[in-house]
Amino acid sequence: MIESLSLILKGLQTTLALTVFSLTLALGVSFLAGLGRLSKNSVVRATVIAYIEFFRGTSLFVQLFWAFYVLPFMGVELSPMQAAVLALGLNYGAYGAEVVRGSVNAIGRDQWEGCVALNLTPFQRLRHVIIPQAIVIMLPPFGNLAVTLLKSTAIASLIALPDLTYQAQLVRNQTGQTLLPFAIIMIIYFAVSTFIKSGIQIAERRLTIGADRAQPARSI
Amino acid sequence: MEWNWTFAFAILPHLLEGAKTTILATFLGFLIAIVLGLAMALGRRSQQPWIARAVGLCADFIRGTPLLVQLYVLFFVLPNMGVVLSPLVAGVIGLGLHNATYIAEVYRAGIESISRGQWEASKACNLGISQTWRHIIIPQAIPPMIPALANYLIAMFKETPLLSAITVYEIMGEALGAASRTYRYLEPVTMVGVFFLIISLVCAYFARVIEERVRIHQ
Amino acid sequence: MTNPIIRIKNISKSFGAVRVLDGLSIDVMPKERLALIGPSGSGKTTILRILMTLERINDGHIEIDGEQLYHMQRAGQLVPADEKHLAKARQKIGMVFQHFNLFPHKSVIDNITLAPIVTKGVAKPKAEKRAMELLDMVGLADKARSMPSALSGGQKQRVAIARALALQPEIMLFDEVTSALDPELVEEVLSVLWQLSTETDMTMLLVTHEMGFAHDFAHRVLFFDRGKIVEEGKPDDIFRQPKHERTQAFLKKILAAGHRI
Repeated sequence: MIESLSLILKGLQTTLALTVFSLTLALGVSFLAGLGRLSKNSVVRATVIAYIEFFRGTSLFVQLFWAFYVLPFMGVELSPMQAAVLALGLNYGAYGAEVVRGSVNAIGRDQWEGCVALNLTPFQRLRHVIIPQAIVIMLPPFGNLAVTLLKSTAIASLIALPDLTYQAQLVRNQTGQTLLPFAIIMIIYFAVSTFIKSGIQIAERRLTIGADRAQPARSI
Repeated sequence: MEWNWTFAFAILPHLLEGAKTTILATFLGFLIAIVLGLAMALGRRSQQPWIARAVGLCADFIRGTPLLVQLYVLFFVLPNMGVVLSPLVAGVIGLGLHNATYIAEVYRAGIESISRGQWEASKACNLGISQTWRHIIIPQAIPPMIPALANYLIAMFKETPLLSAITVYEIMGEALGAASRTYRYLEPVTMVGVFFLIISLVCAYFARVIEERVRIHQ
Repeated sequence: MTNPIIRIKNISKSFGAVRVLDGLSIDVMPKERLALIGPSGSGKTTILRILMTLERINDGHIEIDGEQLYHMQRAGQLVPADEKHLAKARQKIGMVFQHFNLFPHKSVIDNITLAPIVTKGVAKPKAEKRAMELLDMVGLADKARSMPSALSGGQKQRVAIARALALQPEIMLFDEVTSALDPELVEEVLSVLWQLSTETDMTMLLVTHEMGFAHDFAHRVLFFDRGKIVEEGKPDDIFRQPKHERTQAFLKKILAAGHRI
């Protein structure tokens, strides 16, 4: 019993590490691709659209197996952890890019015009005026993505990454117990999702206090 | 590793066989999800607070845990309790149950988007509760839900490869089977990816068309 | 003889099939105050938006202080201006909007100091000192740390004026700055404009429906209709003895609606 628990706790460490790494990659990619999607340069835009459509269209599961089993034949040998971070990060980055794009688009035209009248450069407009307001809008959908990403980490067990799900299977094989290991990891997953969700809610409240909600876009 | 067309053609019939199962599982799962989702949405609106709370907690729990683990529970744990499900049945139930919790939210948002004025006007017109639902609320709530429901259908389609983990021979199961027999992963996994990409792009196109229609309709 | 600070030469602008400006030319002298009046949709706001580079022109040329606004010299040829050229041209121009366009996530003082700090590299303490002087001038020194949502419309607009002034523009554009305000708040904004007209010698372009204020404020009044200047002249002439029948009809309608001159 204690041995089983320690196996599962080890799995928790792996799951948390995988979640944090892939979330970081996904966030970086989201901003890069989301802002690239709004670029004036049509080559940048087309590249980003191709990336988003490809990763949203081909199923995370397939991407993970491709990264782990096919890339080595092309000379890129990845550990299960690296393959999982790559697949999860790029897959969720594609969804996150749409969140970034949508939030930036939700900022009214009046804000952009105010920036032009104050002679801010395009980069300064984003950095000081648009993104600080867009972040408040992004938080809830990013929170949902983070929870979904956490749940998706379970599939890394299928490429033998010793995460929570993998360890629960291990316990099942070693002890013949089925309900207990799965019940325990489900409670752990649920606790972590709840933790992420409340973290996002707190951040949202912090950001909204003091900062006013963005003014609705007005029609010209 | 070079792409081997002979091998690719050799496994194609297996993959197509698997694709049938993938599509079947998607639609059966979706059917379960829209029915269960409705039950959950109504349960959450129940007059009995304990029913509403229990349904809400269950839905939160299902939404907060991985589908893969839920599939394992259905497939490995239930037999110990005397309930033996075939892989496909377990997979379809898992897929449907998991997504029902999301679809319940779609229903909830759709119902809540109808303004209070509509309920009050129905009362003023002396409509009963069921008449209000049937003639006023549901006809207005459904069209805006359609794009969201279509998105969940596509999302579920992309989740079906998970069913291979409980030995459902859908397209990914077939591909991994072929790969482990021959130690060639390049062709089967890539072909499955292409299959998903094509169907997703086509679906995304139709989803946009539907969305446009709905918008014009309003 | 001094040169015009703004020289608008034969510009045209269409939105889709709608032609909002049609071969328009205006010269504005330094220190001149211009009032642009006319029915909605006559193109007067579009001129301000074009000067602020918020809209592009389809045809014609604009010079600010002798420099091309939308064009630049490259290898002896006039080519469309790039963002760098526009940014340089915009330094001379400030604008106040009908809907204020304050940044809701920044406090009053941060709204005012943002542009001086990031575009001109002014040190923060210096920018804040200057901002406080401007807030003092518009009568809102006590609101420096407030968020825009805590202000009334009239206060927001006064902050917006201070924000535009912080960049020390030579030309100020006021686009229907009192149209979005409740009637009782109009006066406090107009009195700030009046103060600017008496205490500074900036070139100012004012688009307004406040005919009485336009009369007192402007050196010259332009009456617009359907993308063209129908009549222009001294305020007394335009308001007391309009020559063109469309000007007469417009003023009559405005007066009937209860506006005073």
